[in-house]
Amino acid sequence: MTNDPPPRSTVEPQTWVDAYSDLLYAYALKKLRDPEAAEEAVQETFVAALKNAAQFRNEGQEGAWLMGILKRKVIDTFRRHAKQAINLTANDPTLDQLFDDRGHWRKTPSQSELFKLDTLEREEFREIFQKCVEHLPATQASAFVMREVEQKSSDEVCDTLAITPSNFWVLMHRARLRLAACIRNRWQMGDH
Amino acid sequence: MRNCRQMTQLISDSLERRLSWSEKLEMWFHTAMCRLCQRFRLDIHHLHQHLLEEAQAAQKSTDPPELEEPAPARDSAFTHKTDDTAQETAERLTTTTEVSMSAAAKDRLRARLRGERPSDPT
Repeated sequence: MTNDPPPRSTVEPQTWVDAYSDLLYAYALKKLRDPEAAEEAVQETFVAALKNAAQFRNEGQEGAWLMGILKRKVIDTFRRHAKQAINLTANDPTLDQLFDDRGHWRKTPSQSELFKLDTLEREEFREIFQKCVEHLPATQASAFVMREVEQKSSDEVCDTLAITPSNFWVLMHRARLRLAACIRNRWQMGDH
Repeated sequence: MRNCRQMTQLISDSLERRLSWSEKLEMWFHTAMCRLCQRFRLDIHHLHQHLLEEAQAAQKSTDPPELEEPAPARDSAFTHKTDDTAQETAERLTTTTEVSMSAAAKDRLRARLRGERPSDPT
Protein backbone atom coordinates (compact mmCIF):
# COMPACT_ATOMS: atom_id res chain seq x y z
CA MET A 1 0.00 0.00 0.00
CA THR A 2 2.82 2.39 0.77
CA ASN A 3 5.49 0.98 -1.54
CA ASP A 4 4.68 2.74 -4.82
CA PRO A 5 3.08 6.11 -5.43
CA PRO A 6 -0.15 5.68 -7.37
CA PRO A 7 0.65 5.95 -11.08
CA ARG A 8 -2.04 8.42 -12.03
CA SER A 9 -3.37 10.42 -9.13
CA THR A 10 -4.31 13.24 -11.46
CA VAL A 11 -7.36 14.54 -9.64
CA GLU A 12 -7.15 16.24 -6.30
CA PRO A 13 -10.71 16.65 -5.06
CA GLN A 14 -9.62 18.21 -1.77
CA THR A 15 -8.29 21.23 -3.67
CA TRP A 16 -11.31 21.69 -5.92
CA VAL A 17 -13.40 24.01 -3.81
CA ASP A 18 -10.57 26.49 -3.29
CA ALA A 19 -9.17 26.21 -6.78
CA TYR A 20 -12.26 26.11 -8.97
CA SER A 21 -15.48 26.95 -7.17
CA ASP A 22 -15.32 30.69 -7.91
CA LEU A 23 -14.68 30.22 -11.60
CA LEU A 24 -17.30 27.56 -11.99
CA TYR A 25 -19.78 29.55 -9.96
CA ALA A 26 -19.18 32.71 -11.98
CA TYR A 27 -19.85 30.81 -15.18
CA ALA A 28 -22.97 29.11 -13.82
CA LEU A 29 -24.34 32.38 -12.48
CA LYS A 30 -23.73 34.20 -15.72
CA LYS A 31 -25.60 31.55 -17.64
CA LEU A 32 -28.37 30.72 -15.17
CA ARG A 33 -28.88 34.14 -13.52
CA ASP A 34 -29.98 32.50 -10.33
CA PRO A 35 -27.57 32.16 -7.37
CA GLU A 36 -29.30 29.10 -5.99
CA ALA A 37 -29.39 27.27 -9.29
CA ALA A 38 -25.76 28.23 -9.90
CA GLU A 39 -24.65 26.85 -6.55
CA GLU A 40 -26.54 23.67 -7.19
CA ALA A 41 -24.98 23.26 -10.62
CA VAL A 42 -21.49 23.64 -9.11
CA GLN A 43 -22.29 21.09 -6.40
CA GLU A 44 -23.60 18.64 -8.96
CA THR A 45 -20.49 19.19 -11.03
CA PHE A 46 -18.16 18.30 -8.19
CA VAL A 47 -20.24 15.30 -7.18
CA ALA A 48 -20.33 14.01 -10.75
CA ALA A 49 -16.59 14.66 -11.07
CA LEU A 50 -15.87 12.69 -7.92
CA LYS A 51 -17.91 9.78 -9.17
CA ASN A 52 -16.10 9.80 -12.48
CA ALA A 53 -12.65 10.62 -11.15
CA ALA A 54 -11.36 7.23 -12.22
CA GLN A 55 -12.02 8.09 -15.86
CA PHE A 56 -10.02 11.27 -15.69
CA ARG A 57 -6.43 10.96 -16.89
CA ASN A 58 -5.44 14.20 -18.50
CA GLU A 59 -3.00 15.78 -16.10
CA GLY A 60 -3.11 19.54 -15.77
CA GLN A 61 -6.46 19.86 -17.44
CA GLU A 62 -8.49 19.33 -14.31
CA GLY A 63 -10.10 22.76 -14.55
CA ALA A 64 -11.16 22.29 -18.16
CA TRP A 65 -12.53 18.87 -17.33
CA LEU A 66 -14.62 20.30 -14.48
CA MET A 67 -15.80 23.11 -16.72
CA GLY A 68 -16.92 20.56 -19.29
CA ILE A 69 -19.01 18.81 -16.69
CA LEU A 70 -20.44 22.12 -15.47
CA LYS A 71 -21.50 23.10 -18.99
CA ARG A 72 -23.56 19.95 -19.27
CA LYS A 73 -25.07 20.59 -15.83
CA VAL A 74 -25.97 24.13 -16.85
CA ILE A 75 -27.72 22.86 -19.95
CA ASP A 76 -29.62 20.32 -17.84
CA THR A 77 -30.72 23.15 -15.57
CA PHE A 78 -31.77 25.29 -18.57
CA ARG A 79 -33.95 22.47 -19.78
CA ARG A 80 -35.49 21.85 -16.41
CA HIS A 81 -36.25 25.55 -16.00
CA ALA A 82 -37.55 25.84 -19.54
CA LYS A 83 -39.92 22.97 -18.96
CA GLN A 84 -41.27 24.66 -15.83
CA ALA A 85 -41.50 28.02 -17.57
CA ILE A 86 -43.45 26.50 -20.44
CA ASN A 87 -45.87 24.85 -18.05
CA LEU A 88 -46.54 28.19 -16.45
CA THR A 89 -47.04 30.13 -19.64
CA ALA A 90 -50.83 29.98 -19.45
CA ASN A 91 -50.98 33.20 -17.47
CA ASP A 92 -48.11 35.55 -17.09
CA PRO A 93 -48.70 38.35 -14.54
CA THR A 94 -46.70 40.85 -16.56
CA LEU A 95 -48.82 40.26 -19.59
CA ASP A 96 -51.91 40.78 -17.49
CA GLN A 97 -50.48 44.11 -16.43
CA LEU A 98 -50.02 45.15 -20.02
CA PHE A 99 -53.27 43.81 -21.48
CA ASP A 100 -56.86 43.70 -20.23
CA ASP A 101 -59.16 40.66 -20.32
CA ARG A 102 -60.06 41.24 -23.94
CA GLY A 103 -56.42 41.47 -24.93
CA HIS A 104 -56.37 45.23 -25.45
CA TRP A 105 -53.51 47.37 -24.20
CA ARG A 106 -54.25 48.79 -20.79
CA LYS A 107 -54.15 52.54 -20.54
CA THR A 108 -50.97 53.73 -18.88
CA PRO A 109 -49.82 57.31 -18.32
CA SER A 110 -46.70 56.83 -20.40
CA GLN A 111 -48.39 55.35 -23.42
CA SER A 112 -48.91 58.67 -25.11
CA GLU A 113 -45.21 59.50 -25.15
CA LEU A 114 -43.79 59.32 -28.60
CA PHE A 115 -40.44 57.91 -27.72
CA LYS A 116 -38.22 55.90 -29.96
CA LEU A 117 -35.70 53.40 -28.70
CA ASP A 118 -33.38 54.32 -31.53
CA THR A 119 -32.71 57.71 -30.02
CA LEU A 120 -30.74 56.01 -27.23
CA GLU A 121 -27.00 56.35 -27.30
CA ARG A 122 -25.07 53.11 -27.22
CA GLU A 123 -23.74 53.57 -23.70
CA GLU A 124 -27.15 54.48 -22.32
CA PHE A 125 -28.68 51.56 -24.10
CA ARG A 126 -26.17 49.12 -22.63
CA GLU A 127 -26.80 50.24 -19.09
CA ILE A 128 -30.57 50.17 -19.37
CA PHE A 129 -30.61 46.90 -21.27
CA GLN A 130 -28.41 45.24 -18.69
CA LYS A 131 -30.72 46.21 -15.86
CA CYS A 132 -33.84 45.17 -17.72
CA VAL A 133 -32.46 41.75 -18.65
CA GLU A 134 -31.75 41.15 -14.98
CA HIS A 135 -35.44 41.61 -14.25
CA LEU A 136 -36.60 39.01 -16.74
CA PRO A 137 -37.57 35.55 -15.54
CA ALA A 138 -34.54 33.27 -15.94
CA THR A 139 -35.72 31.26 -18.92
CA GLN A 140 -36.94 34.29 -20.84
CA ALA A 141 -33.60 35.95 -20.21
CA SER A 142 -31.68 32.87 -21.35
CA ALA A 143 -33.71 32.51 -24.52
CA PHE A 144 -33.50 36.19 -25.36
CA VAL A 145 -29.77 36.54 -24.66
CA MET A 146 -28.88 33.44 -26.66
CA ARG A 147 -30.97 34.59 -29.60
CA GLU A 148 -30.53 38.35 -29.71
CA VAL A 149 -27.26 38.98 -27.90
CA GLU A 150 -25.24 35.91 -28.78
CA GLN A 151 -27.01 35.83 -32.17
CA LYS A 152 -27.58 32.10 -32.13
CA SER A 153 -30.04 30.54 -34.52
CA SER A 154 -33.56 29.72 -33.32
CA ASP A 155 -32.81 26.05 -33.87
CA GLU A 156 -29.77 26.20 -31.65
CA VAL A 157 -31.65 27.93 -28.84
CA CYS A 158 -34.54 25.45 -29.06
CA ASP A 159 -32.01 22.67 -28.99
CA THR A 160 -30.19 24.00 -25.93
CA LEU A 161 -33.40 24.61 -24.00
CA ALA A 162 -35.04 21.44 -25.37
CA ILE A 163 -38.20 23.32 -26.30
CA THR A 164 -40.34 23.44 -29.44
CA PRO A 165 -40.20 26.43 -31.79
CA SER A 166 -43.66 27.59 -30.76
CA ASN A 167 -42.68 27.52 -27.10
CA PHE A 168 -39.56 29.46 -28.01
CA TRP A 169 -41.64 32.09 -29.82
CA VAL A 170 -43.82 32.46 -26.73
CA LEU A 171 -40.75 33.02 -24.56
CA MET A 172 -39.37 35.59 -27.01
CA HIS A 173 -42.70 37.40 -27.17
CA ARG A 174 -42.86 37.71 -23.39
CA ALA A 175 -39.24 38.70 -23.06
CA ARG A 176 -39.74 41.41 -25.71
CA LEU A 177 -42.89 42.77 -24.11
CA ARG A 178 -41.15 43.02 -20.75
CA LEU A 179 -37.95 44.46 -22.16
CA ALA A 180 -39.71 47.06 -24.27
CA ALA A 181 -41.80 48.16 -21.29
CA CYS A 182 -38.80 48.14 -18.95
CA ILE A 183 -36.49 50.06 -21.27
CA ARG A 184 -39.18 52.61 -21.93
CA ASN A 185 -39.89 53.04 -18.21
CA ARG A 186 -36.27 53.40 -17.23
CA TRP A 187 -35.66 55.86 -19.98
CA GLN A 188 -38.62 57.98 -18.96
CA MET A 189 -37.71 57.90 -15.30
CA GLY A 190 -34.17 58.88 -16.18
CA ASP A 191 -33.12 55.92 -14.08
CA HIS A 192 -30.02 54.83 -15.86
CA MET B 1 -59.12 38.91 -36.00
CA ARG B 2 -56.39 39.01 -33.40
CA ASN B 3 -56.58 41.30 -30.39
CA CYS B 4 -53.54 43.40 -29.43
CA ARG B 5 -52.13 40.78 -27.10
CA GLN B 6 -52.24 38.19 -29.87
CA MET B 7 -50.98 40.73 -32.38
CA THR B 8 -47.84 41.39 -30.31
CA GLN B 9 -47.12 37.66 -30.49
CA LEU B 10 -47.31 37.84 -34.27
CA ILE B 11 -45.16 40.96 -34.33
CA SER B 12 -42.54 39.22 -32.22
CA ASP B 13 -42.78 36.14 -34.45
CA SER B 14 -42.01 38.30 -37.48
CA LEU B 15 -38.44 38.50 -36.14
CA GLU B 16 -38.24 34.72 -35.75
CA ARG B 17 -39.96 33.19 -38.73
CA ARG B 18 -41.34 34.03 -42.15
CA LEU B 19 -44.94 35.12 -41.76
CA SER B 20 -47.57 33.95 -44.22
CA TRP B 21 -49.08 36.52 -46.56
CA SER B 22 -52.32 36.64 -44.64
CA GLU B 23 -50.42 37.08 -41.37
CA LYS B 24 -48.37 39.89 -42.89
CA LEU B 25 -51.44 41.57 -44.23
CA GLU B 26 -53.18 41.36 -40.88
CA MET B 27 -50.12 42.73 -39.13
CA TRP B 28 -49.80 45.70 -41.47
CA PHE B 29 -53.49 46.38 -41.29
CA HIS B 30 -53.55 46.22 -37.50
CA THR B 31 -50.43 48.30 -36.93
CA ALA B 32 -51.64 50.91 -39.39
CA MET B 33 -54.55 51.56 -37.10
CA CYS B 34 -53.22 50.67 -33.67
CA ARG B 35 -50.65 53.07 -32.32
CA LEU B 36 -49.57 50.91 -29.35
CA CYS B 37 -48.98 47.81 -31.45
CA GLN B 38 -47.09 49.90 -33.96
CA ARG B 39 -45.01 51.28 -31.13
CA PHE B 40 -44.27 47.76 -29.92
CA ARG B 41 -43.25 46.78 -33.42
CA LEU B 42 -40.84 49.70 -33.66
CA ASP B 43 -39.51 49.09 -30.14
CA ILE B 44 -38.55 45.50 -30.75
CA HIS B 45 -37.06 46.31 -34.13
CA HIS B 46 -34.91 49.00 -32.56
CA LEU B 47 -33.94 46.62 -29.78
CA HIS B 48 -33.01 44.01 -32.38
CA GLN B 49 -31.05 46.60 -34.34
CA HIS B 50 -29.15 47.85 -31.29
CA LEU B 51 -28.13 44.33 -30.31
CA LEU B 52 -27.14 43.48 -33.86
CA GLU B 53 -24.89 46.53 -33.95
CA GLU B 54 -23.35 45.55 -30.62
CA ALA B 55 -22.60 42.11 -31.99
CA GLN B 56 -21.11 43.52 -35.18
CA ALA B 57 -18.98 45.98 -33.22
CA ALA B 58 -17.68 43.08 -31.13
CA GLN B 59 -16.97 41.16 -34.31
CA LYS B 60 -14.86 43.99 -35.70
CA SER B 61 -12.80 44.36 -32.56
CA THR B 62 -11.96 40.75 -31.95
CA ASP B 63 -8.26 41.26 -31.30
CA PRO B 64 -7.94 44.57 -29.46
CA PRO B 65 -8.93 44.20 -25.82
CA GLU B 66 -12.02 45.89 -24.46
CA LEU B 67 -11.00 49.34 -23.36
CA GLU B 68 -13.98 50.39 -21.32
CA GLU B 69 -14.30 47.21 -19.35
CA PRO B 70 -11.36 44.86 -18.81
CA ALA B 71 -12.37 41.24 -19.04
CA PRO B 72 -12.19 39.39 -15.73
CA ALA B 73 -9.00 37.37 -15.37
CA ARG B 74 -9.66 33.80 -16.21
CA ASP B 75 -7.77 30.59 -15.84
CA SER B 76 -6.39 29.70 -19.23
CA ALA B 77 -7.94 26.27 -18.90
CA PHE B 78 -11.34 27.89 -19.08
CA THR B 79 -10.76 30.00 -22.13
CA HIS B 80 -12.55 28.50 -25.07
CA LYS B 81 -11.86 30.14 -28.36
CA THR B 82 -14.94 28.90 -30.16
CA ASP B 83 -17.50 31.70 -30.07
CA ASP B 84 -15.57 34.40 -28.33
CA THR B 85 -17.12 37.35 -30.07
CA ALA B 86 -20.67 36.39 -29.24
CA GLN B 87 -19.55 35.50 -25.77
CA GLU B 88 -17.83 38.85 -25.31
CA THR B 89 -20.87 40.75 -26.42
CA ALA B 90 -22.96 38.71 -24.08
CA GLU B 91 -20.62 39.43 -21.22
CA ARG B 92 -20.46 43.10 -21.94
CA LEU B 93 -24.22 43.34 -22.05
CA THR B 94 -25.20 41.01 -19.29
CA THR B 95 -22.54 40.80 -16.62
CA THR B 96 -22.41 43.50 -14.05
CA THR B 97 -19.69 42.58 -11.61
CA GLU B 98 -17.34 39.73 -11.17
CA VAL B 99 -18.83 37.16 -8.87
CA SER B 100 -17.38 34.69 -6.50
CA MET B 101 -19.00 32.07 -4.37
CA SER B 102 -19.83 33.03 -0.80
CA ALA B 103 -17.93 31.41 2.06
CA ALA B 104 -21.12 29.80 3.31
CA ALA B 105 -21.78 28.30 -0.11
CA LYS B 106 -18.24 26.92 -0.18
CA ASP B 107 -18.76 25.31 3.20
CA ARG B 108 -21.95 23.69 1.94
CA LEU B 109 -19.98 22.49 -1.04
CA ARG B 110 -17.24 20.95 1.11
CA ALA B 111 -19.82 19.28 3.32
CA ARG B 112 -21.52 17.83 0.29
CA LEU B 113 -18.24 16.55 -1.10
CA ARG B 114 -17.30 14.92 2.20
CA GLY B 115 -20.54 12.98 1.94
CA GLU B 116 -19.50 11.61 -1.44
CA ARG B 117 -16.79 9.06 -1.82
CA PRO B 118 -14.58 9.04 -4.89
CA SER B 119 -14.97 5.85 -6.81
CA ASP B 120 -12.07 3.47 -6.54
CA PRO B 121 -9.76 4.13 -9.46
CA THR B 122 -8.71 0.52 -9.76
